[in-house]
Amino acid sequence: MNASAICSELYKIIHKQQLIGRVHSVFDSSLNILDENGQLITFLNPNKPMSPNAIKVEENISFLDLSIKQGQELTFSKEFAIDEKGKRIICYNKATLWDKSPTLFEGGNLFRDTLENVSEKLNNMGIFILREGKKYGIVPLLRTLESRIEGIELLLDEDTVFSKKEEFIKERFLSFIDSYINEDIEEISQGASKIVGYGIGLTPSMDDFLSGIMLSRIYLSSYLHQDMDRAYEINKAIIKHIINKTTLVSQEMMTHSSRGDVNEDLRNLMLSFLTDRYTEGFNECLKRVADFGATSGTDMISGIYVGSLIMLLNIRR
Amino acid sequence: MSKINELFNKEVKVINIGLESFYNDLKKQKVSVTHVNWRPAAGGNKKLASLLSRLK
Amino acid sequence: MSSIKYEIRKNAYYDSVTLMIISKEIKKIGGVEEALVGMGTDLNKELAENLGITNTEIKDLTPNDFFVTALADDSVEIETISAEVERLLSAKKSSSDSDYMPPTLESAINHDPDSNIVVISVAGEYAAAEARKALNNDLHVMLFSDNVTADQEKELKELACQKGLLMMGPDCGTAIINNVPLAFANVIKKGHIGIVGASGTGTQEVSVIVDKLGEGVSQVIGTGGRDLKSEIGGLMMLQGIEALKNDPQTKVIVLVSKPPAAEVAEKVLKAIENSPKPVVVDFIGGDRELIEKYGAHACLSLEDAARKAVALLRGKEAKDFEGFDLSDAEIEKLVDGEVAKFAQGQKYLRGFYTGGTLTDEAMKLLSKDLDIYSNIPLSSEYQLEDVKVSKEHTCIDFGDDEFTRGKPHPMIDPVTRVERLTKEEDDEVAVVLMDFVLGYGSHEDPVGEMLPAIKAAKDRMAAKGKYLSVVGSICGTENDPQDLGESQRRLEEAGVIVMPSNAQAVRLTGRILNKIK
Repeated sequence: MNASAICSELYKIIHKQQLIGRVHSVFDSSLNILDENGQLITFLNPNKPMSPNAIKVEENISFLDLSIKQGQELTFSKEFAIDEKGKRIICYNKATLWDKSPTLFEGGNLFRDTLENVSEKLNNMGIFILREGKKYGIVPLLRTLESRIEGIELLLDEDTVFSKKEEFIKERFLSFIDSYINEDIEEISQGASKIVGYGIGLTPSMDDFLSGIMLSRIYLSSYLHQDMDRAYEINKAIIKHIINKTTLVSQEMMTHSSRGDVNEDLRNLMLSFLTDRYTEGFNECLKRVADFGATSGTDMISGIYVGSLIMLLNIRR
Repeated sequence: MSKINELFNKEVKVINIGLESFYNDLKKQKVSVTHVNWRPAAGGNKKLASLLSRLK
Repeated sequence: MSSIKYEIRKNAYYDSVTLMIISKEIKKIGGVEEALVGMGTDLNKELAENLGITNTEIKDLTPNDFFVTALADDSVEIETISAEVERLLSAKKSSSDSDYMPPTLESAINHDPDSNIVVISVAGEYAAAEARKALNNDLHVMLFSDNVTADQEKELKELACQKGLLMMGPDCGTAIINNVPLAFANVIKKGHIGIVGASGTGTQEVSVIVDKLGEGVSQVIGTGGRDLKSEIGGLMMLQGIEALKNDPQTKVIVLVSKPPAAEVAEKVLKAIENSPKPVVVDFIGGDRELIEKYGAHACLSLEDAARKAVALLRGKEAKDFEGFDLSDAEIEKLVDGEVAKFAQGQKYLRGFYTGGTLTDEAMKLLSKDLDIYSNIPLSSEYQLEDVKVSKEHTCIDFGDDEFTRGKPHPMIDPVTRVERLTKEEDDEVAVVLMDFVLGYGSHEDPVGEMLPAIKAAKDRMAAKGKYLSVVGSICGTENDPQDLGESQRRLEEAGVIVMPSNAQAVRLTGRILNKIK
C-alpha cells in the first residue's frame, strides 16, 4: 500500500528512530497498531478523515481483506513499514505531511466570526442534534442539563427515551458538569473518572462527549481571547484519571482531544463554526461529523455544543 | 466541432465534488457519476491558515 | 424465571456500528427483558451490576474486552444469544454498499477516464482550484460554489474559452445537459428550445413553463450570476450562444438574465444579431428597444419568454402575454372573492420567496403600483433596515446571504421561511405571495414543509377577525421527483390560490391589492 498522507508528528518520530508495534485491532476502513511506547498508530482508508498519529492509504481497500492480523508485528522505518517476514506493508515517503494541531486564532491568520453569528450557528447546532442526531448515545442524558444550562431546553425532545441507563449515571454526570462550570480542577478530575467509559462503542458515548467538551474548550478559549494555558490545564484535569477506565482507543482519542488534536472533519467543523469563511459548509461539516461510528459523531457534537454553551454563557456572567 | 457541441452528442458522465446530495440525485436518475470524497488539502494547519487568510 | 445470558470476547474490538446493531438485535429477541452491550469499562461493568445482569466473569473484564449480557426468561436459550452475536460479528462488512469514492479529482479521472463534466460545490477558495484542475484535464465544469472572486472567475472562463469548454459558474445553480438535470433543475421534456441563463430560478421557471406548454428543451446552459457584469463581459453566455447556434437539436434560443451591464448587453445581442434561429431575450426588466433593435424578441416576464419561445418553435407569432390562463370573468370573481373577505385596514403585501430571480420578477412587475421594501430592493431607498422585520409592502429573498449563514438554502430546507411566516404578526397584511420550487436539488416536499405555517397564519388572522389571502405558484413539472399534482392539491385544500406561473401569481396579487384601495 502507498500512503497519501501521514501525521507529521508520527513522521518525525519514525525518522528519529525505528518503531516497532503490534497490530491491535483490524476494521473495514481502519487498522490500529500499538507501538512500543504504548501509542496507537492508525492506518486509514481514503474514506476516513485524516487524524492524529495516522497514515492514510491511497488505495480504497478494506483492511479486513488483507492478511494483517491482530498480534502481528510491524516495524516502521524511515520510508516504509514491514511485517515479520520483511514484506513491505506500506510505503510513506511520498505522503503529504498532515499537521494534527488545532488551527487557532493566535498568529493572526484566521479571522473570527462575530459573536452574533457564532451564537446563531450554535443554536443551529442544537437544532441539528435534535433533528438529525443519533439518539442512542449521550443525547438522552442531555435533558438533565436543563437545570444547569440556559438555552438547552431545545434539546428536550419528547421522543428521546430516558431509561434506567441514564438514571444510573445522571447524578455523577451532573456533578461533573457542575465542577466543569465552576472550573474546579480537583473536582473535575474526580468527576470525570467516575463517568468515563460509560456507554456503547469502542469509544464509549461519554468519552466522545468529553472529547467534544475538551475540543470546545481549546477552540472557544482561543476565540474568546482567553488564557490558553488555563484551557489545557482544565483538559488535563479531565483526562487525569482515565487510564484503565476505558478502552485504549478511547483513551488515546481523549488524550489527543485534550490538546485539541482531532481529525480533519472535526477541525473543519470548529473552523466553520468560529470563522466567517466556511459558512456554507457548516451544515455539511455537521453532517460529516455526525456520520462517525454509530453514535460517536452525535456524541461529540453534543460535547462541543454543551461546552460552547458553557463558555459563551460564562462570558456574560 | 467545438468540444461543447461534442458533449451534446455524448452520454453525460459526471464527477461530483462537494455536496453528496447532488451525487445521490444523479444516481437516482441512473446517470453515470463518481463522487469525490473531497477534503481540503491535507497540508495541515499552516497551509490551511494561509489559504484562509487569502480569502479575506 | 429469568436468568442472565451472556457472551464475552476478550481483547476483541468491533466497530461501533456493529456494536449498535448487536445491541438492538439482542433487545428485539422475544423474552429478553434487559440487555447491555459494550466494552468492559468500569462504568459499563457497574451499569451491568446496577441492572442486575452481571456475574464474576463480567466483573473480571478489562476495558479491552467485549461483552454482551442480557436478562432473559428461561424460554430464551443462551445459544440463541450466542448465535445472534456470532452472526452479527462475522457479517462481512462489504465495501460494496459504499461505492468507490476517490479522494481527489485526479483519482476520479483515473477511475473514470470517460468523465466529461465536473460538478463542484465545495467552499469558495478551494472551488476555483478544483475548477482549474478540471479544465486543465479537458473537462467541462459546473461550479455551484459562490465566494469565488471575479478575477478567478475571469481567469477560469478565459481558460475555458481557449479550450472550448463549458465553465458554468461560479454561483451556477441550474443546468440541464443532454436532458440530465444538474444541481437544482427540473425534469423537462426533451425538445428543441435551448436556454442560456445567468439566473437559477429564472432558468427553472422558463424551462418548467416550456414543459407545461407541451414543448421541451435541448440544452440548458448556466453561466453563473456574475457572467453579464462588466468584469466578466458575458464570456460564458457568448460561449453558450455559439454552442446553441451550432446545435442541430436547438431550434429556438432563449437568454435569461438580470439586466446586464450596458456594453455587455450590446456584445451579447450582437452575437445573436443575424441568427437564423429565433432568439428570445429576457433581461428581466431590461431595455426592450435595445433587444428588438438586434432582431430578438423581448419579454415581459419569464413566463412570457417561455410562451414566446414555444410560439416561435411552432412557427407562430410571438405575442406579448400579460394576462391569465383563466378567463377575465374567472379572474374578476377570484379577485372580488378575496377582497370581500378582508377587514378594514388590511392592505399590505408579504412576498416570501426561496428563488432570488422570482423575487426580483415579482418586485419588477409590481413596482409601478407599489413601493416594495426588500433585502434585495430595486432601489436602495427601499432596503429594509432589519431584514428580519417587514415594513409596509415587503418582498424577501430567503436565499440571500443574510438568511443562509450557517443554514441550508431555503430551496433545500425552507425552515427560515417557515419561521418568518410564523412570526409575522402585522394585522395590516392582506396577501402573502410565495414560490414553491420543485425539481432535483430541492427539498423532497417544499409544499408539505410550508403547509402548517400557512394554516397557522391564516388561523391567526381569522382569530382576529381578519382574512389572510395566500397566493402562490409551483415551479415544477409532472416528472419532478416531488408530486406536482399532490403539491397543488394540498395547497388548494389549505386555501392557497395556486397560479400557473410566478408572473400570473404576481399579477393576480397586484389586482387584489389594487382593488382594496
